[in-house]
Amino acid sequence: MHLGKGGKYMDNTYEATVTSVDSEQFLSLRIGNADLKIPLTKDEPNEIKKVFNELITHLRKGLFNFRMEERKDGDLIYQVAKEYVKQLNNELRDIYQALTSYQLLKQ
Amino acid sequence: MKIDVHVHTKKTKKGDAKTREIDPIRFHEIISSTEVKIVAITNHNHFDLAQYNAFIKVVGDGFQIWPGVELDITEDGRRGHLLVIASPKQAESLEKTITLLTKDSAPDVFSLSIDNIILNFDKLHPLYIAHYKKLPDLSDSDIEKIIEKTSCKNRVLKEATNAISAGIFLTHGHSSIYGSDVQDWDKYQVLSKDLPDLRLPVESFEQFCLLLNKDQAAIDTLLDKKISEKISIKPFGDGSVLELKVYNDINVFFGAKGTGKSKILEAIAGYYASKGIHAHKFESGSADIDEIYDLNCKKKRIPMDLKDYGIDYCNKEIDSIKKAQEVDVTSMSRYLQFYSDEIKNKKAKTIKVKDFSPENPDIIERDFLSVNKVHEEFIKFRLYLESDKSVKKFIGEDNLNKLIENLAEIINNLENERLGNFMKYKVICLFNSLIEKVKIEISAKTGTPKKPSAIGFYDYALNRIEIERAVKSVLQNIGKKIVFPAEYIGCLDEKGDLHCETDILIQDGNITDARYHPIADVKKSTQKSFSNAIKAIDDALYTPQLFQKVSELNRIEEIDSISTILELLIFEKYFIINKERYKPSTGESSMLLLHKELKDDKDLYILDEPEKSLGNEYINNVIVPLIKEKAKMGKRVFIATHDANIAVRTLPYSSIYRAHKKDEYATFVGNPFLNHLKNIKDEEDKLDWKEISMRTLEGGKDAFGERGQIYGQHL
Repeated sequence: MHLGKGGKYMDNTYEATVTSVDSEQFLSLRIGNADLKIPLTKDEPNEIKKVFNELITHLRKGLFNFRMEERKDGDLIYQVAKEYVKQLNNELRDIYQALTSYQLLKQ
Repeated sequence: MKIDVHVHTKKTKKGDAKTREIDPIRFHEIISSTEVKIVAITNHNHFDLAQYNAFIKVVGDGFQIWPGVELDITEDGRRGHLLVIASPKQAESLEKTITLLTKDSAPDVFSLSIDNIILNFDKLHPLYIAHYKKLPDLSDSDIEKIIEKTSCKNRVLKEATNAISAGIFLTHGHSSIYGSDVQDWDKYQVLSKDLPDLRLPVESFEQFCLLLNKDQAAIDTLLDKKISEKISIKPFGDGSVLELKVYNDINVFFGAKGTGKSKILEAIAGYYASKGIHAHKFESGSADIDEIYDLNCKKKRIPMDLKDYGIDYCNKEIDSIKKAQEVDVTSMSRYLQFYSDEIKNKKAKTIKVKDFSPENPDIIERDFLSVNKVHEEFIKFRLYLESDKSVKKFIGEDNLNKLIENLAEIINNLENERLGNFMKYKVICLFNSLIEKVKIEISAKTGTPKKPSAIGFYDYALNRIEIERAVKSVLQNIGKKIVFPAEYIGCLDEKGDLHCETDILIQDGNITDARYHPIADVKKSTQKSFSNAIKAIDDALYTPQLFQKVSELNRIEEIDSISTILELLIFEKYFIINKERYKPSTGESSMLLLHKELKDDKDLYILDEPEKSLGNEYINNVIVPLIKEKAKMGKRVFIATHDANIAVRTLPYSSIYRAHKKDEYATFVGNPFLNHLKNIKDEEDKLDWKEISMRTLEGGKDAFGERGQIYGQHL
């Protein structure tokens, strides 16, 4: 599967990577022009919630998920990020179903 | 009941219209469809006994038919018409008399002198009704001659052309009446509406004649057909008792100002109130119409159910918004801690269950609830089809069986679906429970933290979605319109119909018009702040400020006073005529309030000078008919009045006159039918009802002059 424009794969799958800014590491979720960053190395719930709000807004337009870049020599942070993305994808799917049943999707 | 003393049922003269002819069945149908209860058949110079008997046979007890004839009179070369009406008991004698007189001449050429009329008909003791100012008419001297010659002097009446003429003749001391003189039976129903009313339920020709003679026993008998009672009241504060016989009909109090009429009415109201009957004295001009119709929005009571207007109360939604709280997300440190403490226990590593991701049972639960609801509805539908016998009758047994068969299959599928969903739901719950249990056990045994089951996105997002649903529902209902039906108040003659308009709006945060007031007990500022706060929450649904906005909502002053959309309603009331706002004048207000008082369905009406500020036309055309309608319905109506239109034209069963005599007040009781009033303390002290009414009441002479419609003989 090839990564297309805006970090999107062909089947509504977006790219997820671990990025570093200064000494901090982030799970970077790229959707369109947005690059949503979840702090991995410190607890910042408000930052996570901001990202979640963005994700809900995007979910209204259609279901998507994230694919974590493959790394054979993944360190602890990578393992955390991979597990996080796996669980995020499950919860994105469940929320999309809730939005569908409540008719809150954008046409 | 109405009386028609002049109908034609046959074409007897060449000039008679063919449309005067009528058969017994049609005659019965037409008269029965009107208020006419007494009909006199008066064909020209002819009485057909066979036809009369045929009518009697078909009509039965439906209404009275009196036999009669319209005779041509020739007197001193003048021609006129005279109705001669006899008792039904005299029908055969009447026929014999007429047949004998007319055997040698056709109705077109037949005529008699007054002397011959008296000679031949007086033995039947008939009513004589002479055409008067109605061509061909009899002159005053002709009528005087009839009165002079007949032995039944009180039975000579004049027939006018219409109600007004009848009234005018009455003013000049003549007894008068009028009949339809029907030309075309197709038009009789309309024509009958203007016929004279009989206030007393006259049961026979003989009784009618007794009333013409003002026979007290006959009148008392008829009056007693209405329910009456004797009441004892102490109206004057001096302990003196006033005993009155009052009727479930119109009871009028009249007399000069200051003779205690209002006090009597108050005492009557008190008397009935003490018996548990709602009694309210209506005093014209004492109430403010704006207050009665709550134009100042003080009562705040508008009976309405929002659901009738397609509006949801949103009580659950408003409650959930007020109670909304943030849901935390899983902290990243829990993941870091889990992966930092690598599981060293070999056995633990082999337990794969711990690595499974839990599944979300909510989705399956939603599906289960959804299919359950559909299943329930189908079951109800099947029960309806099986229990309602009319279904089988209208759709047929075959169709019903096919339908039930199809339904059985659908219900079976739905039951399988329910069961499947239930199983899935339980499996997920058990599976999740297993994962969680295993993780806890491993964590406890190995001393490592358990792996987080969820990042918290689902719970976080679902919480906001639920808030969004509640907010959207509230805003959607706030945006709805209410069209409240206008209330009809009354007619202001040429100006048109007056309505009370109630504009009801839902405060959406933008309405600043001071004329609007809250329907519920809630402050305007609270309503406005509430709607604005809900809008602010809507704007902040997926922002970090959401719960700050919820807090702002909960901090609104007296926020607890709003728990449903109903508390957001504001209203304004105003009068309109032809879609334009209108403020009734004092006179118009009196008129409308009196109309309202009489329109309300009550057992008892107590009206104190209802004529105040009202025009004669309105009293005659609207108020008098309404009062008479109440009397017909057997309601008790007490009226103190100075207005002759009310005191006279309603022909009250009881007229109570209050007079100031020397140093004391006297009460006289009577009625228009006997035409006298007796002092309740001295039976010998009698007054003439008509004379006192004309002298005491405003517009007395005019009222008697216009009384044709009620039949001049006070019947």
